[in-house]
Amino acid sequence: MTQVLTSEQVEVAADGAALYELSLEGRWGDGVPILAATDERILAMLAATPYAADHVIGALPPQYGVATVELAAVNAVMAGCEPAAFPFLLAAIEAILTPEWNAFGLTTTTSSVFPMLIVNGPSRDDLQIDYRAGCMGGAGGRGSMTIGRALALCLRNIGGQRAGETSRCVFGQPARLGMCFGEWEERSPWPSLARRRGFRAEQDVVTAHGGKGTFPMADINNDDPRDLLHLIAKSLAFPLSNMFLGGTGENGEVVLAINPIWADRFAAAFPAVESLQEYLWEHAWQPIDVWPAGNQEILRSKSRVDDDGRVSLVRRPDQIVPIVCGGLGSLHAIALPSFGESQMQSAAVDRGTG
Amino acid sequence: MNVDDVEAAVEEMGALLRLDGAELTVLEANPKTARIEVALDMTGVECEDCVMPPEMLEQMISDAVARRVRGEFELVLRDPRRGGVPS
Repeated sequence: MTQVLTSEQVEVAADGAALYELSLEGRWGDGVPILAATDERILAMLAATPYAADHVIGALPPQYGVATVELAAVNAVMAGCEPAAFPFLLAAIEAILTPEWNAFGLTTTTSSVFPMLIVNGPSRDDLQIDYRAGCMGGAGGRGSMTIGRALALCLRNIGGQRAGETSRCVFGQPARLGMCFGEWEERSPWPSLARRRGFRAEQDVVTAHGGKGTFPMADINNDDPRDLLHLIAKSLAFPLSNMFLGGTGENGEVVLAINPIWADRFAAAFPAVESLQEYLWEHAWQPIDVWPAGNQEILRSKSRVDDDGRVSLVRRPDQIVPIVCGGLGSLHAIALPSFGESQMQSAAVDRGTG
Repeated sequence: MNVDDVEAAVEEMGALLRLDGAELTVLEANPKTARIEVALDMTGVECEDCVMPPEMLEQMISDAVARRVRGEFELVLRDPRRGGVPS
């Protein structure tokens, strides 16, 4: 396919520092050095997809800029993506543009929330999408570091998201520079996240979760799976979670990243992931008297308090989403708390090969 | 994880154990799971106390593997002295 590029062009000296300065001045960078989006590099991105440069993926909030494949490719190049990773960016955009993901709400809110990308499928190693030690930061795989960053640049440069302006975020979070990691499917005793969401094992799949941050949990004192899961469930249900703020608790998922050692331990007690989710759900609550009177009134008005005075974090077990990743050091789990009014979305990576 | 490197590391320890009549065998070395499973066979051992204790043996195998293999791995030692003998 012959591609015709139509993006606005700027001239800059062939010097990385000059381009970096220009990106800061023009506010189309993210504060970190970028690569030059030359025609040659953009065309290499386009060659990795079945789409024409002017194919419209959708309108990206908050300002609803039209995201064409060419504009996505420009941002992918700037982020440092390799062409083989570009279809993962397109899948991520497709996922966050699903209405139930609530992209406008998530890109404009005061919350720190941002798309966190979880990748399943056979290309994780080839693209250096981290799923082992340091997968949520520090491992430094190219795929992990650039796919998430490319999505963040798309939201900035196509969607017009700017902290303190179109985005009213109070703090933001490190993941706003981009967050993308894989699931260690080979070490998971349960079906992968993508399989549970209806995809085939041979498909590469990107799942976008509107995550508020990384919430660390640790235990060195107890090896019993039920005891550990009880403590995890109680930790997930922290009183100032968004899930208790004002909604009904029917929307949104809390992702629970479990290290492979703990996953083996939990699977001995809960061979089916559904039974694990059920157990977590049964314990992810707080007594109503944890909250002061004013908060109690709101929770009661939302029918969040059951007959035993318990306030459950979420309405259904499937809203607690376990995944397996991380290093073999054991001892730790990470939760990715939900924004609440956003439902996780997945999209298969489309390379046009059927 | 390179399987040949794992085999070589285990053989390094196996050579020492063989002097006492024991054998070390790699049951699994899977790069996809980073799991290494090694079995100790003591059927030819006449002096059980001459073979180093399971915890120490596991640590020494782990150290030998770590010297040759890049990245994290999980070592499982099947040692008849603490049960879990592979079938």
